[in-house]
Formats: sequence, structure tokens, C-alpha cells
Amino acid sequence: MGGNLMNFINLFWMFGHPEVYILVLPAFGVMSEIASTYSGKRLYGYTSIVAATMCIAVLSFTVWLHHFFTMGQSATVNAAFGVATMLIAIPTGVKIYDWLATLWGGRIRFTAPMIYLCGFFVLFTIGGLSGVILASPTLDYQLHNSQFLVAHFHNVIIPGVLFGILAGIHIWFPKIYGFRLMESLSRITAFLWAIGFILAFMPLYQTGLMGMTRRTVAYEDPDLVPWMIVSGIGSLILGLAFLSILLTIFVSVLNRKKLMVPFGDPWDGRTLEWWTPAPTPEWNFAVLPKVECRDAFADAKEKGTAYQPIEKYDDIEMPANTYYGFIIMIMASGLGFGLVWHMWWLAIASLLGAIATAIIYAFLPQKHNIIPAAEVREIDEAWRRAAREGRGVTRDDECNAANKGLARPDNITNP
Amino acid sequence: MSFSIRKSLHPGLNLGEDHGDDHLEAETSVFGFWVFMMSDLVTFGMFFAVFATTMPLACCPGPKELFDLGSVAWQTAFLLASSLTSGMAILTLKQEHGGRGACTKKLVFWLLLTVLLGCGFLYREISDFIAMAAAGGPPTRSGYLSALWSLVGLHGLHVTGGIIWCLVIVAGILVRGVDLRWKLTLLRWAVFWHFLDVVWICIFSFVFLGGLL
Repeated sequence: MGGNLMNFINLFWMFGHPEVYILVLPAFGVMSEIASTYSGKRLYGYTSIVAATMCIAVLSFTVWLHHFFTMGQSATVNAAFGVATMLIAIPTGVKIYDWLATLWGGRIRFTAPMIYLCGFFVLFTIGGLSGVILASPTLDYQLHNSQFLVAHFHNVIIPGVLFGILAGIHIWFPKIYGFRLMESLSRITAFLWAIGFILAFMPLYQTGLMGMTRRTVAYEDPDLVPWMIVSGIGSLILGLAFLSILLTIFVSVLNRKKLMVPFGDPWDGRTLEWWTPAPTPEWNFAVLPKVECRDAFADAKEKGTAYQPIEKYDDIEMPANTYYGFIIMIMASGLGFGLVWHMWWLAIASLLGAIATAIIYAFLPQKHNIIPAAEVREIDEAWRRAAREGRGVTRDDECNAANKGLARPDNITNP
Repeated sequence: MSFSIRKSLHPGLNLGEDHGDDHLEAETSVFGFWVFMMSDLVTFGMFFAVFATTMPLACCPGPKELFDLGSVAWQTAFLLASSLTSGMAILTLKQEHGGRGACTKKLVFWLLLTVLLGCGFLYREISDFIAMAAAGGPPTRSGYLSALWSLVGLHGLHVTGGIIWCLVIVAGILVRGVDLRWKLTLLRWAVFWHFLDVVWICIFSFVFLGGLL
């Protein structure tokens, strides 16, 4: 007696809304990297981007109620949460303008990540604007649980989060595996995602306005049919986009010899991770780089000091690998699964197993691998020497087999 | 300036410079644990919020029928005392293991005393839960009781975890000695244990005193 059904929905969205920003903020970080790296410029308005990120992080905790404007709380409460929701558009707009300004006058290459970024600029902004529409409680009474909402959140999650992740995979894949992904196929994939998304989800704005509810298995209104056919075609194209990712990876693995970037800096990167060979040795940096400014690696390349010899190498202590964390992860998954499906034996067994594993790990001696300075020196010196002697490529040859991960300065002025 | 930074690396009781590198190692792990604790604080905040939105109804037993303030006072005494003894354990670690001898026995004594007091707390709390269920107040009876059992039970679950953790540390110290890993674990466990005390003070005033007065 006396419970309140709204408790659960409140608790869920108090977590759930900040969670969507946990999805998108890292993707925004990728967008910052794309904008600066693929235009060969410092990120415009770094401080304002950081401030905007912090604003979004705080505001994300103040808007959860917009998921259930229609649940019957007072108009005043709805209005407060509606205003808070609309406010988020401001710091997000700041970020978009900063990324656009970063591109201005830069050495822009229309590579796969840049295609994702441009798609993001247009599509994510549309998704954000439809979010501002939904943030008005008055309008939300019409749009709540309609296809309009479905269109909105796919419109922010696909061009926002997914484009960020896919572009991120393309950028950092060579850092991890030592070879680039096929640029031509990656570009086709990017276009397939953008076109497929537009066809699949834009019609849902219209069907939502026509009154079609979400999670509908059947409908009778013939006016909806053309829109749903377009949407269906779009989803088929998205299926092709999925296959295209697999094909890109498959073909790139086959051609990995041609795509190797052993010097580790295929995109003329600006941040520290590009200051290592690819794939990166397990110790990452032979000697910790001294950072005196933002974009330290770009700065060192400009001064010509990036690959100077290092005099003194030290032994590097690495923590030993362990599979205990992985075991605990499996058991924690078992616990979650067991709790969701009321499989109590599984839940109890997984919980006890995870605790026992953690306790056993605490009693194991912690080993460290020492990598001797001589070994580090040999590998690091060979890399630096080859980089000093190599000619590298300008951005014109970024996507050719000539790109071995060593960047030569382009003759452009950096505004 | 640099001296004062070295002296205190993280919120809470630091190991001190007598511990050399061990002291410096403490910063990342203890600070990280503080961040984790703050996420736990959010969880408790949610449970408190749910409790605050529910009302004891006339249909079902409420605070007057269910709460035994004497027992709650005992629980509070046990938990506050255990916080004191855990503080003594950390002071022992800081002062007696910092190069001036290693009095492991004293450390283990304070830790086991803490466990004992924690068990005393749990014993009274579980007895109260059983009595509440017998008096017609199981969690399924009303929204108020669900919220009450969840909030107090969540805290009890934390105390149970803290006791198991402490026993593991005691066993570890006896097996391997007070090495860096156990020192860092002790510092984190101490943050956890004091945190439970703070949460209990809120439960005591908000749930039990607030419910009865």
C-alpha cells in the first residue's frame, strides 16, 4: 500500500539521462580530434570547449523529468525541467561553432573521419533542434511516445555517438594494429551510414507528427505506407553499412603490408599518442615526453625536435598481465543476468565467485616485468634514427601506400 | 609549499613521510577510492530520496509500532565505537609502521575489535529486522516499508561487506606482512568504514529519530 509508481521512473531517468551524455561526451572528444587533426590546426576555443563540456555534465543531472512530462506532475515542475533541457543546447552549440571555426582556413582533407564530422555537423544539429522542440512540455503532450521521439533520439545517437565511434576506430586503428584501414572503403562506409540514417529515420519525424506511436507492430493508416517504405529502404542501406565495416576490416587485413605505418603518425597528429611507433610498444613512451604546451607533438614537429636522440634510458617497470579482472567481469555479467531473469542460483554463484576471485587475487604476489634499459634503447633509437633519416609524406599522400606514418610539413601557413 | 603537498596527498589520514615511497604511492589509489565513494553517496542519496517521498500509512504498522529506539541507540554506539577503533588502527599503521618498528599485533588488535563492534551492530540490526517482520512490517506490506527496508538494508549490506573486507585484510597482513598493497587497502577500507558511519548518522536522525519524534 502507498507506493508510488513514479518512483521507479524517476530513479531510472535520474540515472538514464546523465547516461546519454556519458555516451556522447567521449564522441564529442573524437570530433575535437577530427576537426583539429584533419585540418592541421590547433583546436579553436579549447577553453570554451572544456567549459561547455563541464556545463553539459552538470546540466545533464537536471533534466531527467523531460522523459515523462505527461506523467501528471504540475505545470511548474514541467516548465522548470523544460527550460533546463533547452539550456543544454547552448553549450552544445558552443562546441559545434568551435569545431566549425577549427576547420576555417585549415589544411582540410576529406577523409573518412572528416565525412563523419560533416555528417555530424548537419545531422546532429537537426537532432538537437528536434530535442529543443520536445523539451517544450506543451508540444511534448502531442509528441510523447510518438515516432517523432524515436526519430529524435536516433538522430542524436547515430550521428553523434555512432559517427564518433566509427570515425574514432578509423583514426586510432593504425595506432593499435600498425596498419591503416582502406581509405576508399571507409569513405563508402561513411556515406552509407549518413544516407542510410537519413532515409531510415527522417521519415519517422513525419509519421510521428501524423500520429504514429512508437513500438507499433501494425498500423491501418495507408498514408503512413510511403514513409515506412522509405524508412525500410534506409534500414536496408544501414545493413549494407554494417557489412561495409566488416568488408573494410577484412580487405584492410589482407592488404596490411601496403597499409603499414610503422612510424606511428599517419595523420600528422598533434597529440601525444602519435609520438610513438605503431603498433605502440608495451611501454608506450621510452622516456616520458616533456609537455610544455597544448599539442606538444605538433609543436615538436614544427621545431624539428620530435625525433631527436635521447641520451639516457631507464629500466621500465611494467605490471604483469593478469586474467583475474576478466574472470570477475564474466561473473559480474552472470550476476546481472541472473538478477534480471530471476535465476537465483546463477546470481548467488556469480556473486560468491566474483568475491572469492577478488580475495584470491589480493593474496597473490604482484609481479612486475622489468624491461631493461638496453632493450628499450635499441628499439627506440632505431625508430628515432629512421624517422630522422626518412623523408615522410605531405598530406597529399596521406591515403597512399607511401604513407608510412611519418609526416612531412605542408607548405601552408597555419592561421 | 612543496613540503605541505608531500605531507598530505589525499583527503583523509595520510601515511606520512616515514613511509617513504609507500606514502607517495597512496595518492592515486586513495583519491580514486574517494571518487568511488562519492558515487556510492549518490546511490544512498537516491534511497534517501525515495524514503522521503513515502509516508507511513494508517493501514500498516509505522515507526511507532516497529522502531525500538533502545536497540537503534545500541547500533549507533557500536558503529561509532567501531569508527573510533578503525581510526586507531590507521593511526597505528601510520605511526608504528613508518620505520619506527612494526607493531603488527597492535594493528590486528584494533582491526579485529572493529570487526567485533561491526558484528555487534549487524546482530542488533538483523534482530530488529526479524522483529519488524514479526510485528507485521515486512518490506512487501507498504511503499513506506519497502523504502525503509531498502535504505537500512543497503547500509547493513555495506557494513557486511566492510567486515568481510577487514577480515581479508587481517588475514593478508598475517600472511604477507604489512606491505605496500595492504597499506593502500587499509587506507581505502578506512575511508569506506568512516563513510558508513556518516551514512548511519543520517539514517539514525532522518529515519529513526525523524520517524518517532
